[in-house]
Amino acid sequence: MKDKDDYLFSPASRTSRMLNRLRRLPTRLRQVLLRRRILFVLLLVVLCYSIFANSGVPFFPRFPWGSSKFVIILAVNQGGGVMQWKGPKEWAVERTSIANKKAYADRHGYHLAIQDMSIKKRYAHEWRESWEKVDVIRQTMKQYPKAEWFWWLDLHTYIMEPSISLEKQVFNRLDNNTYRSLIDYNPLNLPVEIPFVDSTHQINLIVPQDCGGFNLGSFLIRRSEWTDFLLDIWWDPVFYEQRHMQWEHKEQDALEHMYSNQAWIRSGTAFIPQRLINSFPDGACAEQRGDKRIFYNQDEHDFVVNMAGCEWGRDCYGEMEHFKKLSAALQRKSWWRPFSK
Amino acid sequence: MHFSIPSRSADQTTLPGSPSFKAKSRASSHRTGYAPSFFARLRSLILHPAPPLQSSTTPEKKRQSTRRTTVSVLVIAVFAVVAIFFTIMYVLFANIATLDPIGPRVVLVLGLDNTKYKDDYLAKIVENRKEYADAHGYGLYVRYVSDFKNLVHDVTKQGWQKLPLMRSAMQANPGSTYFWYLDQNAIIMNPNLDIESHITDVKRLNSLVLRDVPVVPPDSTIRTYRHVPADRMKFIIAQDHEGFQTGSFILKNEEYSWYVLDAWFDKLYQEYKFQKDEKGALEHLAQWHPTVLSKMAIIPQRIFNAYPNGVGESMYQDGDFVASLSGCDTPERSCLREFERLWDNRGRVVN
Repeated sequence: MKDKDDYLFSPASRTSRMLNRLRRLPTRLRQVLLRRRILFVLLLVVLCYSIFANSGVPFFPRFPWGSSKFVIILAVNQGGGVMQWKGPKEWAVERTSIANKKAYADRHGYHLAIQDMSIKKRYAHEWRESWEKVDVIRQTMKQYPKAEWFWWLDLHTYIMEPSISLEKQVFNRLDNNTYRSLIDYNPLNLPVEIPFVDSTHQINLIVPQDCGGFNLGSFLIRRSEWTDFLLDIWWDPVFYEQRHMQWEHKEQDALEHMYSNQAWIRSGTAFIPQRLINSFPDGACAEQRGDKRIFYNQDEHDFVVNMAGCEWGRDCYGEMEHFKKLSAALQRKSWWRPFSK
Repeated sequence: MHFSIPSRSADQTTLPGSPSFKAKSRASSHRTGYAPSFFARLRSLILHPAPPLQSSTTPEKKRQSTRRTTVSVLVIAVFAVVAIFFTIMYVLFANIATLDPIGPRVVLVLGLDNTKYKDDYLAKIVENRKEYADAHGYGLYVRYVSDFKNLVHDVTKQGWQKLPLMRSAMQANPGSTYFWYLDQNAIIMNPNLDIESHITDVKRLNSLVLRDVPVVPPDSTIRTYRHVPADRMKFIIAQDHEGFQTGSFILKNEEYSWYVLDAWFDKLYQEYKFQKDEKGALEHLAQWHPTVLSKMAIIPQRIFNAYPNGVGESMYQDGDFVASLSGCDTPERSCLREFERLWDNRGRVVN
């Protein structure tokens, strides 16, 4: 027979009955978890993954914390509709591109800096024309003082595999993914060796090479003293005066010139195989059809496609829609990919 | 803390009860079971958690436990030895792989032109530098400038060759910090002054730096910075009445210097045909690129580049560090004559 003194709390009142139940609750919870240990472990794993993983798994909530060290710089509004009218197709292409980058940045917790590249007076012809990229990068570095790597993307690009993070694609095995020597692939026939190059220098600029040279449509640059020097020396009036008529691609050709002539630039620059961050659609680099190093390959799930030069002679809107649909189809077909590896 | 209400069947006397507990139990023993007050029970729970129900020590278990303890002691001992060994090895040798390269703190850089000057003249110059370097424990890097003629765009413009020479000196001496380029046609007149206390020491440099002076005298728009602290200066150079005097300058062996030397030596600058060759290119760099100018220190010329036939501020006086014969290969002057006069009057190292 249970005495009222047998209980720590006398169960005379209703509150004490409830307190009794509360007392039993932790034990109940403990019993459930012990019995369903697997469930407990799974819950813990999911929680950790949500909080700590760099890339988000779809459908699970992600808690982005801390400031990301990656910033995606998306160059939009090229020309600002001044030289060419921006019709509904141009607007649609811009919307698609921005939405694609935004989704990607949200998914992986990267910052996205959408920079306006409309024509400004200070970049008039015969004066820094086309060197806005350099100033924009400098400006973005000031805006994101804690970020380390900045990924420049032109407007006519599409991220085909949003489940792949930048760490996985490039940075986890940086030395394996990049190459520093022009011995194997030198489409521009730049000098392979120049004196005073330091091959152990930290990599500060990662640039892909396409069929015609360096491609600055999708490249990575790191915040460092070396980068400050590069962004300063990239445009120089003496260089510009002597060469701007020959430099069709302006800042890209300036970089190629400096790479050939200045050893400190070589020390800090690495190349990345084009298909890792800058695959081309079939229309670009048309002379090199079938070159496996250049063109987008959906079977191998290439990361980003850069529809370079689509505004001259090709259909930007058509290509963008095609790749958008293709990307959605690929995500549906291999829905298990984000969970693998 | 394991809270449990002691079971009624437990032996009351085995519980290490507090006196009050026992008193209570004795007092209330007239009841059917013990019924101490709530607080007494709580206190007993906190102070004396339930003891183990049994503690048997059979001989078998004793043997097992001693063996287990010896094994565990052995394992711990092995781990301890290994840990101590690795700690010692780490402390002694870990830095070997990441040792910074060693070398003299200051290196003098000298480029000899054996196409225009006789060997005995060059030998005297080298002797002058060597005496100075030996006295202060500095390094000396001597090359023929013709080694670099393939890199230079126009071989007749001698001034450009000092840039790959400096770059080469820096690459050859990764452990050295300061590199002082001094033209071949210059004599260290007062070798008792050492570079560090005379120029590069931070406080001294701070007192020497000319702030807010035009980069190109007399009145260029761009002027040197006013507030950059001297410990950030990596390029020390002097100006004469015309502009930068590149016959004597100091660079630190860092990223900045490699950038400046490579950019300065760029093919497009050499082809541009500046009026003052590499001096003009440096002035252009300093005016257009703040990353270059922000770490340049312009110091008075007499500190390390005085002219014996100069006027005013640049004129060499007795006791000055260096006398420079720059510009002596014009027809009006004679390098050899001026050199002989200075050579005989030069100071020697005082031990």
